[in-house]
Amino acid sequence: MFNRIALLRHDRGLSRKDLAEAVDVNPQTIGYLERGDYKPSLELALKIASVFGVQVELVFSLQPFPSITDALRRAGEQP
Amino acid sequence: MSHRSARKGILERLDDSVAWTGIPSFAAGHPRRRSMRWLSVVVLVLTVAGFLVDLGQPNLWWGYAMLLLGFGLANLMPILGPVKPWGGPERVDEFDRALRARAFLAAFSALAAVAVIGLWTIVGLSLVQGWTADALRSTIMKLAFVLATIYTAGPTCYASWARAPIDDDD
Repeated sequence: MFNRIALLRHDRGLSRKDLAEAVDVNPQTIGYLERGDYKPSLELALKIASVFGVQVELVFSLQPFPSITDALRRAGEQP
Repeated sequence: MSHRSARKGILERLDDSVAWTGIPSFAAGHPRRRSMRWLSVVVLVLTVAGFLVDLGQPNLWWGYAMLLLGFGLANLMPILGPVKPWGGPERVDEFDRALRARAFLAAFSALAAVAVIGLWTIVGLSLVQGWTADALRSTIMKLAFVLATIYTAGPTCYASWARAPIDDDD
């Protein structure tokens, strides 16, 4: 399972501790999630998505997310 | 600021040394848990090796000493190791619960295997070598120390190797 937690967290200016407190887990658990060492429960995944204010499939995916560079390039190529 | 003024005084160094032991954070209900990869392996090897030495040469005192040293060190692992105990004051989230479940499953599997092998080995040796009741009781008691060590150090060993340590924050 792949996720964008680190990206969204940096985008929102949140530390691991801030996010951990928001979803009631330990900061290390956020670190393990970001590193891909741990797959969250559905409840935790929904809580994390809720903190970022996005749908859960924008945070977690079974397929690798496209890189930001590719996404920006594609956006620039659109007329 | 000069180099001399940046040096810590004796009292600050004593404070640091006490904090390093982890006892103040433990007393505050937030123990500083560490990965204990090699220490847990050393403890398990020391204990099992001590038991085997004592089994082969009961007259050698250091076999029993190794066994007891391993058992003593293993008792520190639930306190300072990465597996959080049930009913403690620390926050145990879903990651901690999942890791603890897997760590204890692995440890209990190893414990069951060692118990079966150990008991049958003791039964066999006692028949072949004609042990006295005292020798049999003593050896079974030492096996109990080995099993207790696996119970305390086994989950720590599994959890320490299953996950690379991670910093508290980025």
